[in-house]
Amino acid sequence: MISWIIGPFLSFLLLYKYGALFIIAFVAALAFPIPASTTLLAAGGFASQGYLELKWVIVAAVSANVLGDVVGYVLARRYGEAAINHVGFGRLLRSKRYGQLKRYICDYPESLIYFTRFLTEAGPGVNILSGLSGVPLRTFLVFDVLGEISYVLLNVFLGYSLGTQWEQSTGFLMKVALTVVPVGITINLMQVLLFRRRRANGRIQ
Amino acid sequence: MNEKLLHHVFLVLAIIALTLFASHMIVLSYRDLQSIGVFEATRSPRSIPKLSPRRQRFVPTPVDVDLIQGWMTIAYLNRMFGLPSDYLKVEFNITNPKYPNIVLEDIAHLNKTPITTVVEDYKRSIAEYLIVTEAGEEPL
Repeated sequence: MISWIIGPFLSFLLLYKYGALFIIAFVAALAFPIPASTTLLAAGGFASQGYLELKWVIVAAVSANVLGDVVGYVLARRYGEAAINHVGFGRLLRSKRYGQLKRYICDYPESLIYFTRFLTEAGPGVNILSGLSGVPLRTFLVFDVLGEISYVLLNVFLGYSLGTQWEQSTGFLMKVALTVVPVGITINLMQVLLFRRRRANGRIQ
Repeated sequence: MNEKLLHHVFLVLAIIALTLFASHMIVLSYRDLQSIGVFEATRSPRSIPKLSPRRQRFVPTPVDVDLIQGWMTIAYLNRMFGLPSDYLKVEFNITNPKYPNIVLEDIAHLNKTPITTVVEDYKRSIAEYLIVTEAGEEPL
């Protein structure tokens, strides 16, 4: 039963409204796997009943998500390598695999950042990797904001349109997330293949 | 066409594809839910006669007392069912100064009562209110 898992989050949201939504979205975007998508969907449902204001739900959720993502990115960029070295995983940073991953993220950050906004579990990992890989802040911010706006609008408007029946649409959101990820991976693979082909043809150094 | 431009074209196509896919799924989901009667109104318009047209659009149509769960607050129940702000306070003799920002689970905890009992009591009380207002009478 969905209410047993996320009941405390929903009570928190009903009691403290936008402040609670901001905290839940921020914490989920920063690193912790809490049910932010379901809370967002519920917030849309509460807005449809006039309990919350739709515009403030969107403002609180987008700003908290973006802030959480940027904090994760900045912390990883400034202190990430030092922290990894400190805990004894420095060899990982010097490995060939990590070098390849870093180069891939630097070559194709846009779609990777945009699509992982739809998965609250994958997003924080990508924020940290983007920071560690040195993806420019402007690139990160532009595609993070675009991705978060799309993600928040999808969840909130869905919840808003379904009103009190919002619990039934969580299965649908799972399907969307499971489909969006392969779409993102496919597009990324197409980019990689195209890049390799053009490089093989000597058009890219 | 340079590499950067090509990358941006891919990105725009991806965004369009995502938007079309999400819209398609929302429409399918909506049709599925509509076909099983989720969006059918279960409340008579007479139960919400005193609300202004602006507020009426916020009143959810398929409200059923079976939707009540332990994580809900009294403030939310008041909004959800269009109850007078003091109806549940009087009905259950609630003296907590936080009223109506109280979670049903907290009421059960404070009263040392099982949550299922508290939820059933609230369901019954709200159902009684809705029946009385549907019949056009003032609740006691």
